[in-house]
Amino acid sequence: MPILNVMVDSVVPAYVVGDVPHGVVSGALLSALEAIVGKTYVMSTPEDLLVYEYDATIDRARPQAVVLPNTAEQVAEVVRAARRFDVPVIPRGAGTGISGGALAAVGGVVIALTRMKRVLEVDPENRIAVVEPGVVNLDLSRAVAKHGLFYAPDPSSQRACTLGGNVAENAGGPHTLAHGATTSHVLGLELVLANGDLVWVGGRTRDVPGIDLTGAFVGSEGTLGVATKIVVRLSRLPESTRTLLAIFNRLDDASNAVTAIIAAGIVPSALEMMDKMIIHAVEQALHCGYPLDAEAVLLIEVDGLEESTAEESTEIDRICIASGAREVRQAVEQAGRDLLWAGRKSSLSALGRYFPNFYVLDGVVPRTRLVEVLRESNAVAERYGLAVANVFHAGDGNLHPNLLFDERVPGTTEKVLAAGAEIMRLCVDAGGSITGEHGVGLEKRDFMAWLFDDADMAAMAKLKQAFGADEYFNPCKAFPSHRGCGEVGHANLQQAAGRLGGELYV
Amino acid sequence: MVPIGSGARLGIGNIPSAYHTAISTEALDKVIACEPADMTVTVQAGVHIAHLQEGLAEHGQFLPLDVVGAPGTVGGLLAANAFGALRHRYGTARDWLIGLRVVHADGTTSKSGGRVVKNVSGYDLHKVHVGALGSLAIIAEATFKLAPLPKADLTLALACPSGSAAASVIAECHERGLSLIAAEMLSPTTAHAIEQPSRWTALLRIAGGAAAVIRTVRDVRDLAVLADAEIGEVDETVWDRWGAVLSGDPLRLRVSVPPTRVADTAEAIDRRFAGDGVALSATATVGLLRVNMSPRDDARVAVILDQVKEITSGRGGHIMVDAAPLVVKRDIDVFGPSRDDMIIMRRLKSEFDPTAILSPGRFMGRL
Amino acid sequence: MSIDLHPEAEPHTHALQDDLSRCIHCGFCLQACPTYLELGLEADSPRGRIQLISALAEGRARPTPSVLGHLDLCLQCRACETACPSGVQYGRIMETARATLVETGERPFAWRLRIAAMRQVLPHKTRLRALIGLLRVYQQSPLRERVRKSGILKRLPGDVAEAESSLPEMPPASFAPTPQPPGLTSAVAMLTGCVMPHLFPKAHEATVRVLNRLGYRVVFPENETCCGALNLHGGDRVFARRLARRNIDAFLSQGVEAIIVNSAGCGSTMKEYADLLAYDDQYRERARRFSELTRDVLEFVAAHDLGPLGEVRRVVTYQDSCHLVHAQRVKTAPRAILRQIPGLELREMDSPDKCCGSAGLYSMVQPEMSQRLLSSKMDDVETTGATCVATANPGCMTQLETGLRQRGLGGSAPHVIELLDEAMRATHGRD
Repeated sequence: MPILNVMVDSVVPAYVVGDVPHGVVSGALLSALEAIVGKTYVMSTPEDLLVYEYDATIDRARPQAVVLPNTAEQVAEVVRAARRFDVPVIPRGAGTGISGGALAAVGGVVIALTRMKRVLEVDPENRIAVVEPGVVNLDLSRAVAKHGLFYAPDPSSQRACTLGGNVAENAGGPHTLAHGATTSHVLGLELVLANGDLVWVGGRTRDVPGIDLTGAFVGSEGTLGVATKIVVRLSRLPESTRTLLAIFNRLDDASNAVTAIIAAGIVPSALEMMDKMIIHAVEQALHCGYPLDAEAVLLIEVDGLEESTAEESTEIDRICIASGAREVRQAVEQAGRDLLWAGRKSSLSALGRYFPNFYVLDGVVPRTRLVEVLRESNAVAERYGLAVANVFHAGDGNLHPNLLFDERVPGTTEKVLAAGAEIMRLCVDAGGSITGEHGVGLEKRDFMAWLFDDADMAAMAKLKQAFGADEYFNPCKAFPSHRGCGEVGHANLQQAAGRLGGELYV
Repeated sequence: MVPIGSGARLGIGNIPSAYHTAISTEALDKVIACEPADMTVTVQAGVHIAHLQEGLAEHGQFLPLDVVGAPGTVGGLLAANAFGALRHRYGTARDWLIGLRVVHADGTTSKSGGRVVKNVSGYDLHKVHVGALGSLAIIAEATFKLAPLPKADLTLALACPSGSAAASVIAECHERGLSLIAAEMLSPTTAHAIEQPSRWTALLRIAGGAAAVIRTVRDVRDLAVLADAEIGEVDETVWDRWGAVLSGDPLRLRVSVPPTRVADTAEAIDRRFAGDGVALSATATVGLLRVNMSPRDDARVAVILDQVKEITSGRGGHIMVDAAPLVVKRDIDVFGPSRDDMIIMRRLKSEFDPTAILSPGRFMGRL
Repeated sequence: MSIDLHPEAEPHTHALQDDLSRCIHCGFCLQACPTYLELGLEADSPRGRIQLISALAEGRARPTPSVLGHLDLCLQCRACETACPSGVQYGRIMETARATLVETGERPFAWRLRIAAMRQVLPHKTRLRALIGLLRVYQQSPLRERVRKSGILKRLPGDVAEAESSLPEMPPASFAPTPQPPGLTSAVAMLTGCVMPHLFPKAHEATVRVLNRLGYRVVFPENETCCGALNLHGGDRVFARRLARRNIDAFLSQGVEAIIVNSAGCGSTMKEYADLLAYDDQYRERARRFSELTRDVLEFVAAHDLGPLGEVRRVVTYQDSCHLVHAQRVKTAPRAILRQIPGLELREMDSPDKCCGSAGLYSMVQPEMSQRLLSSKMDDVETTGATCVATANPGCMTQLETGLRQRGLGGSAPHVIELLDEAMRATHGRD
């Protein structure tokens, strides 16, 4: 019986009190884990485990045990212990991922790295830092700001997400357009491999002889090993940054402006688009002066030399007006730029006023097909009776349709997942990808077959073998589910994937 | 079986343990898709870089990867992970490659990545083929993202009183975020070989928007005064001469040190090997030195290698041998001593090429 | 002393599930949570606690000591609400959860004891006065020194020693309204509250003087009582409602322009009376009116022209009181006031909106975590070089004074209104 006297008609996982879906790990393994990290940092009761059964996705999966090591050596020992008992290991950062990457899909031991949050070394002259995986993205930038440096990749969750998670997912952000995603900023990694060995790949510069194993590991979604130290490249804070906000009456005009800016040889550091739905929500929440009859807003940022940003922003202003913008605002000072960014940054909270839940999709299309895919995906949402709001990285064609819903309405979650699958399919058909920065994870593993054939995935599996990873790390992630992956996630999602694939591939 | 493009860099790597067949990518010469509006291009491996750049220039774009010496083919550039002076601003092939199709040892093909500029689906498998010298698979087709051609582009040479003066000019430019796309620190011999005064020289390629270039030139002139350097504009063909000089000698090394150690490493090497005709150029901001020499005999080469190792190891660096006389190469691993991640590379080789038919023995650890 | 804890017949309340369902577990709150930052444990994060509460609500978890421990370690500082992109009403969720656990008899003994104590003391002016009097005697007598030296406190169960050392120094006299200048045309009512008149009479006096200067007569309603914040936070929603109704009756009869409060914790609860009584047909409308009229004194004052101000030569850092910045979202007003004071240099500390560890009764019931948070707060304070830490809530003032004392920094932790009062008096001469 529920303890709190409230409505309980939401979707409740099939398991109940005391139930650990994949069984409890053996007492011997628990003792081994406790001997490594101490009793406080091993969780195994259902109540303790349930706070590690989620990340920022809809899916849930409960681990059999959670360990919070404090050093790389402890991580290695935990991996060895789990291996002895043939139990898989799932690395976890802050659990802010949006593809189910940190979920214990088939049970196993979650290694939560949140205690390993030390910035071990900052070398401002060589512009590198060595950090532990639990360091929060924004905390690193704060730690190096006194040297005039920052860590460039800035995913929206940068206040909470960890660098270890960023490495696993090859995280991006609004500023990857000019500065590149995580892979461009990681030089070396200390890894714990499946046999418990601690191995360094890469180093403190790019010119380490041999194969770029660092590049191969970044974005591997926790399936190859656990990164225990990360050497990152730091960037110099730009001399000047200018932000422009351009308001358009027509979506096509905004899209043409994006193309024209790129064609003019300008690579802004950020080029973001917000659609009508977002404009309405943001305006009503913040009163930041967005006209309610506008169809699209572009937020554009350039950084670099003072002279360069002045020249580029003038040019961008001209292009936007020529493309049909009804108004272009510009700011140089921090306060003014914050004001222009305010709408973008609070767009999700603004939506939260109208819908309790939203589901963020992450598709990529060639920049030139943005508007077309946007229209089609809006049509998909409409067909499912769902509201959709788009706020996304237009500069690199990275769409983020937000499906808005109320999970308490029976059947809605299923509709959302099915609509999401269709929209992903649209991106693939336009020559794009099912993920630009969130990862495949649990959520989209069955869509992988839309992009890659068996031979492609067989080649990728060879990388897994080379790392000796087998299915010890984060099993059933990033690649299509196979026998042994069980019924994790939403069955109807897999059905949707299968159905769409079938119809459209014949 | 050794894949071969134009043959421009056939000499690099270890000596293959067997070399029965060369497989030429010459016929793979098609540009499959050029999407200027998306700033991407998909080409077959045999496409010549020079040809590709010409085509892209028509759209005001380029693949911002240059090489030292003959540019060769796309496949060759990737397999060798070749780069030139543009490395300063644009990085290396890994930063621009977004998709790859390869042919495996068993004749099957597979791809990774895609054709969009931002994509995290599947492993970034293409990263392992960059620089693998065709030892894992044969590169068949590649997709790159592109950069806009800079609107203004000029080169300044600053003849400085010392190596450290040249290095600090470059460091200061970097610190100020000036609009440089290449910044090489040349030893006096190298400077002389490209028809510049025989002094330590900062060779700076300034490019970007007009305003940024004007500002950068102004700042560089100020820095030249501070560094007591003689400054002059040079014709852009200087970079071809630079490439020719650095790809010429029989002994060519690549030395990597932390960026802050570039100046003293360069000066130490230059002093020590003055009698060996040492010519040196460093991409200072990434800590990469190219060291060329013409030793009088093969016996001297071994001595040189030992001594360079001695100089660099104390500075946290390592050496790769780009070119050396055959007799010397036979006895060394040109990639240097193996590291603890060699175990992963070895397994990667046996997974991808279990019967060792692709460039056998050529890669690191004689894989 | 009888402990009356039987749940009363209560009108329906907000469906907890509605509040819970807004959380999309994105994790943006993690780094805003002081206890998560200290421990790195998901169960001690806002997201983790929401999941625990959901699980309790759905019958997926039992209220084990471990689960209740995680709920108990929450400061209810509501920093997570500021960080939340989805507008999750975390404070309300925690209050409802604690209240429901109490109302359904699932609460642990310690909670019951606390609730009883709060019921028995806070709203009773005479009992409070007696207690305060005892403390005064204790602190001024040689007894204290002897007790401290004897080490007896260390031998008592729990952290009595820590609690003892964090007790505020009692001022010699409590606040009592004095005659106000004649000719003031507008009137505002002011909540004097339970402990504040005894612990911080100067803040009250300053508040009255400032309001007078701005042209307001300050009314003190006869029947006012404790605001109920501590009861509400401790899970005693039933009693909090009772206090709320009494205050509504007491204040709304005054016909004033605004109800002023200078304790951020009280203010936040008073602004939420509308919520607390949303299902009370008799009081719903009046509760709404009461909440609308309620203003934090700094928020109210900052909207006025402050007139000429004299110099206050001091380096000040400002600690956001959680219930002002996170619960009431008043962030700029206190700073705007401080910046207007000539001679005063405001130096921002790192994370000024992170809880100092006071959090109502928290410093007494969770002394260890409270001390850890205070210690990290004092690190941030020290870095600024300021020894005057201005804030806006009695709990914060007590805690920060303890921190200053522990570090041997000297200095003080006044209410912002005291500094403004000083500046006003510096122009007009002493009165």
